[in-house]
Amino acid sequence: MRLKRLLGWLLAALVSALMLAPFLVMLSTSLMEEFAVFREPVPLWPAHPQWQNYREALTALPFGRFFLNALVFSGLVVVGQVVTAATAGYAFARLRFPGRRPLFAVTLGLLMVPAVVLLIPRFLLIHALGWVDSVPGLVSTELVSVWGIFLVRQACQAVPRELEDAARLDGAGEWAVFAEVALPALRPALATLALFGFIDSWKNYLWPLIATPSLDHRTVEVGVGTLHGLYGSSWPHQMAAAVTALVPLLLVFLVLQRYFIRGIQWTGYR
Amino acid sequence: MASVSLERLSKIYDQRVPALSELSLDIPDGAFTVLLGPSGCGKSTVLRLVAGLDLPDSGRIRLDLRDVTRLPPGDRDVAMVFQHYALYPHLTVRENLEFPLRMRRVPPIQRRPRLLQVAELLQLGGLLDRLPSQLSGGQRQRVALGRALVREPRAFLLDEPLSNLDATLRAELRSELSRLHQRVGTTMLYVTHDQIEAMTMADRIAVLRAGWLEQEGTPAELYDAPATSFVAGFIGAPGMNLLPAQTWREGGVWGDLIPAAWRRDRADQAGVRPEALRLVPAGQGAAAEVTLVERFGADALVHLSAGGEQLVVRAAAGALPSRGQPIGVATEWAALHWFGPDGRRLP
Ligand SMILES: Nc1ncnc2c1ncn2[C@@H]1O[C@H](COP(=O)(O)OP(=O)(O)OP(=O)(O)O)[C@@H](O)[C@H]1O
Ligand SMILES: [Mg+2]
Repeated sequence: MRLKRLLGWLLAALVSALMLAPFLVMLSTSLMEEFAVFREPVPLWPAHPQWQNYREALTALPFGRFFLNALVFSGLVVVGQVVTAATAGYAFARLRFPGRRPLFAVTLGLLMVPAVVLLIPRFLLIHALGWVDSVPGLVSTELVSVWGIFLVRQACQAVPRELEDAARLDGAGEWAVFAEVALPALRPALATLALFGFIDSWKNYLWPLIATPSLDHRTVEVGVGTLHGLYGSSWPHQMAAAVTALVPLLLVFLVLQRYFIRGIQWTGYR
Repeated sequence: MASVSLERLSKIYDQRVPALSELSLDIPDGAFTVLLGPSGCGKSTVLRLVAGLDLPDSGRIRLDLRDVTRLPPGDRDVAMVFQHYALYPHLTVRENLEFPLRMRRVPPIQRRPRLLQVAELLQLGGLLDRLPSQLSGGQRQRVALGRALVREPRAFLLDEPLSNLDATLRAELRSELSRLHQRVGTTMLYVTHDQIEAMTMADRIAVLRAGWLEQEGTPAELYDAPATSFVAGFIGAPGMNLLPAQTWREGGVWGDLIPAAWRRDRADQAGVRPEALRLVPAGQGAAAEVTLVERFGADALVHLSAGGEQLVVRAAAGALPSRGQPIGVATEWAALHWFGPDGRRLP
């Protein structure tokens, strides 16, 4: 019994080490001198950490602006996804309307379409609207998460119907039933969705790259990529930028871990 | 306050067997009426229809004289207490109690006195700032009652409100509910499958079976003159003993209990309550054997068997027979109930 526990721990430690290794390499590389990377053998940790790499990398391009852009982008996407998933998920779970089942099937079917396939159509869409290289262009196509709708619908089914019936008898209209009774019960699900939405849009690369040709609306991830184009040879500088881009994700994850786990438990999908 | 009248209500879920068939029932203003019946007989369906949470396939519902059949739940001015309490988990007791008033746009200044009045009536004073998850089962039940009371509805609907509580608490809340009804005097429609709850609290009882109304009347009427053999067997603890005609028509043991002179020609079953049977020394009455003795302190239930039939006798706690002992059993003509082939009581 104890041996089994021990083996379990060992396995978990091994997997964690494997997962963590690339990040540690990233961190150590970011602190090396420019050409130390090519030395044989590569040192595990630099003898003289080059902290100025960070300053140099982050000032080579307007990273302050990129961070702000990424924050605006992710923030708006999160708000949009929470609003659309809460309403649509609740509607699919609770409201009776014609075509509910087929519509839900089609919605779920969208999960099977790889995002890359939709890249060009989405670009054509915002192009037609004249929104290329603007916040609306960047955000508008990201406001609905099919996975989020599914998550909320699942969560709704765990809310006792009696609760909503009680509210109706207490004189609540359909909107109040949703806003005052269902929504509070859906808070954990929505927190989970917000967390995933934030992470996904923070590390989204392709879409912001295509939707924002100029530097004005670029996000951090795209900024890191741009750095690669400009300073292709300096790995430490690129890694410094990449590490910085990761910090907000780490913070969010540390604070909201339990919602992360819950999302996987609820939908069995991620 | 209002009278509730149901006229030929029918409801079929999912095109299957009817949950409710042509149910007609009048609930007088201020009466405590209990809907009683086994699981799945359609009791909750009646409440949901009266509340407006479901719509009937046919029939009419009136509150006083007003037809409310198609009115949305919020406009009917009836309150419901759900089996699982259905308290809003994210709101405190105070906010739960205020919810119906807030939804009806009662101004805050008028909410306070109503709230305090209900809190006092149900002894919720010290609990107002707790969340439902911090309450015991009995306290939750009282909050659920309070939320129904606070807006002074015209009728109360209660769906097995005590079924989730333990026996002691249930007995306590039973008398509390009766007292509450006497104080507020509001019409109550109370659903239960527990015939003791029904007998102790009801002004009138309606017995349902598979969506049909079997009988409606006062507890005494149902007990003394059950309209069907189903009601006879359902009411009482335990229910009436029912002996099929073939067991006594041919003579034999049960022929001794029910002599030829007493028999009704068209009867298919004879019924006799456990308390209307007498144990007599072996050799007298009908000969039977004791199979089980259940003692309750003041009295006891003696289970007898003879000729392949079982019979329960309520006996005083004094000289009780022991298991396996041969014994006689007797009754009177006046104590017998007769039911025809359709299960209905013979006039
Ligand atoms: N929403 C529904 N969909 C389909 N069938 C239903 C629905 N609600 C109730 N029924 C069926 O209708 C019948 C009556 O149900 P109802 O809930 O009124 O019974 P009940 O007397 O309240 O039973 P219980 O004592 O178990 O609560 C049952 O056969 C039940 O299966
Ligand atoms: Mg029920």
